[in-house]
Amino acid sequence: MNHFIRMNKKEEQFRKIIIDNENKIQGICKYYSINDSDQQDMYQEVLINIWKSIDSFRGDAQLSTWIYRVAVNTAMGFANKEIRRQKIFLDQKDSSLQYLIDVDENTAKEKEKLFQTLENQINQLSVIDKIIITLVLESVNHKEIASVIGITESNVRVKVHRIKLELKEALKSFNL
Amino acid sequence: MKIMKKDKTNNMDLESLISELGSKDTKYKKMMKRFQIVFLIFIFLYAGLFIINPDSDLTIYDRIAGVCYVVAFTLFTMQFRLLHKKFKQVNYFDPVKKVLEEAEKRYRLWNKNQLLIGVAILCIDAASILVMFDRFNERWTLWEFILIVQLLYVLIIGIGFGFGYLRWRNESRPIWLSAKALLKELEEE
Repeated sequence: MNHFIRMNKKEEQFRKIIIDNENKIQGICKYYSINDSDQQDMYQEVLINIWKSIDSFRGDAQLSTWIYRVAVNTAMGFANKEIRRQKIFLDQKDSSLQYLIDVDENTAKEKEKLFQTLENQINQLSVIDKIIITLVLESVNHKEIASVIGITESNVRVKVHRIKLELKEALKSFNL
Repeated sequence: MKIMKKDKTNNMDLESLISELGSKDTKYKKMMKRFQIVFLIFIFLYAGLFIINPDSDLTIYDRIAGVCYVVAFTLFTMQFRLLHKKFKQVNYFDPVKKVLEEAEKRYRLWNKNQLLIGVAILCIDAASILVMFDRFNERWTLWEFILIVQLLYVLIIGIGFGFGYLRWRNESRPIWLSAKALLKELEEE
């Protein structure tokens, strides 16, 4: 009887977490999925991992931070049995890309080229930098990124600054 | 640009290696459980054969050897239990840095916990001398016998370590190295 009560409580908690954080999870998944079905698969995988590890969430971090951790670590393949691509896919319509590149100054053709180059350059970044950049593009603040990764906020700031410089430098060398 | 090109190759390796973490952990978890069961069976088997067995042919040396074997197998069982627990308790949803730190510890060649294995090996060594001495004491003196057994034992243990090291180098070292490299990258400002 106690088991059923516990399961019901867990299910209720799980549902609430998913409803409250659906956009955050989808947000991370979209960067690691080439199409909708791939994104849906990853979303399901993140949900499964949340369900499996919900009991281990002790509240020592914010719930949203924990959700990002599960999503990012699932996407990066730490918990997977199969090797994941770990490739980042950007959405041209994504307004947060403005954070990395100035798209307004370019024509449509130039924008396309710029976007492709940016995506390629992001995929050449290290695993850690990829995690950071996806969180930055998801507008996650530096403090929360630090908590997701386990480094200091100032270290995150330095890394974000360096990644942006690297990307800008790379785009410059492509005459963009 | 040059730096980024160099990174590309390294990162692709790191990514594929680190993504093997989950599958390797599951594999080792199962392996540790199996070893635990095997050594548990050995404990009962050797306790039955050397300690409980009422056979009057068994000398006091055989009985002491039996105790040594049982102690050694108990230590092995404890070690595999600890390792199984370690692999079972992995939480992939801790902060990335913690996940990597734990992985780096798990996949090291040498951990101080493995001292238990060293004690177990010495116990088996002692037990082997005690068991065999009665059967060979007419051909060699005690010291000759101990020397021969030690040489053989060191050779066998050496071959065992050699195979273990090769296995570690092929299977665990890549994960250990990539975890270390990622940790180094994380710590860089």
